[in-house]
Amino acid sequence: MTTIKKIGLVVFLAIFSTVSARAMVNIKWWSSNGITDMTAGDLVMLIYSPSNSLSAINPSSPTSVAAWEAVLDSQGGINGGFDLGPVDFGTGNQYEGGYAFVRAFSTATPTIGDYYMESTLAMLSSYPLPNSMTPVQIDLAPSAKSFATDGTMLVIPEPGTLAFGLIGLGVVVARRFRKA
Amino acid sequence: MKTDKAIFCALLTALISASAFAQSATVTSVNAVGYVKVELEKKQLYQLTLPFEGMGANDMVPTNIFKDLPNGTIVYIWDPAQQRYNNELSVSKSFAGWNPASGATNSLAGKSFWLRVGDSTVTNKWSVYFMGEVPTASEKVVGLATNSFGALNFVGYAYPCEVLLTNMNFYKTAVNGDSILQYDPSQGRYNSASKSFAGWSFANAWTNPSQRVLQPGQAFWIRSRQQSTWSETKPYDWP
Repeated sequence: MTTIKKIGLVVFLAIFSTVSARAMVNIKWWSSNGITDMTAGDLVMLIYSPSNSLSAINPSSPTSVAAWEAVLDSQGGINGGFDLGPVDFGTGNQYEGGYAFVRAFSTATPTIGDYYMESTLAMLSSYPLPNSMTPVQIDLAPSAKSFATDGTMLVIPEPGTLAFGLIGLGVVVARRFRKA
Repeated sequence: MKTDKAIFCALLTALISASAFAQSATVTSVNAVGYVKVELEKKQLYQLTLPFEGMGANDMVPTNIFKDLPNGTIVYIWDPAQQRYNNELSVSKSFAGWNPASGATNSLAGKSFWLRVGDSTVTNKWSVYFMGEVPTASEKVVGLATNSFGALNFVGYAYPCEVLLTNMNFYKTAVNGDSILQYDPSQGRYNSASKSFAGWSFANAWTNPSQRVLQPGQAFWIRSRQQSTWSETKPYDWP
């Protein structure tokens, strides 16, 4: 191995080790004041999004996420809510500058007719320190909540709504291609 | 981080900076000077607090306290009002010295901050001493930012003594949604305590009650929803 290659390898390893040690995100996800009608085992999902926009849930497959999103963790709640983390996520800088949100369901295996709630998006980075140095909190219940009054029911969209959705999707796709 | 426990309360190696007049023997002021020894390793991040009061304008500025640390050392100051780091007061050391000047001359007395130790090819560990006048006020009040989701505050115990997490007034009066987090540089993760509808929950080392001790010089995050102040009474009789 030439000297230049050796130096290159050392530099690469140094950079890699620094990045991997510093780039985790630290997330506390909970319902601090509880979700009164959540029962033990109800599904709670922590979802990563690279952009500052929430994707619409797919009622026919509510546990799946958009292609650009990633499920960081799925857990069962306890009676009266959930209290999870803080947990470190990531092994590199893949979540740097991204967002995360929580989607909680009124059942362990949600289907049409069940309820769900979503948090707002939480930013995972607080410049200039690496993500893990500034803990992130996602609180689905800063005040007491319940699926019955604060949740949204999973319903199959009406044809009109579906049409609007398809038009919107078409616009997004068209703009993508135009940019390319 | 290891802190020299001998210090603080006990080692208030009290220098009586006393102005004792020879003839009248009247003591006009009594100041106890204490120190906290902090052991640091290169490339590590530490949450630190300086629980002393200044004896002089330049005593507790980064350029003085951290002058022996290597290039690449950074002091990060959190701005609770803006909920972001303060780029004007955060300061770094490079081959060209400390920058920016506004941060280099900013006294850290009574403040809490991140310290990221720079890399060094020569030395791996350093001992840094925080020195100053031991607080004499019978009560110390720390202002806290609040919001409905729990604003982040970077704080430390106001007196140079160790304190049990569960004995802190903030812990005792916390509401649901409040939390306390302390970074453990040896593990590279947070110990935390969070209060919810289910009561207090603890993570990592703090799951062990005997580990819930905050050492002098250690800072931590407080996430506050309603408490805009956090007061503590002086835990020692003298000074």
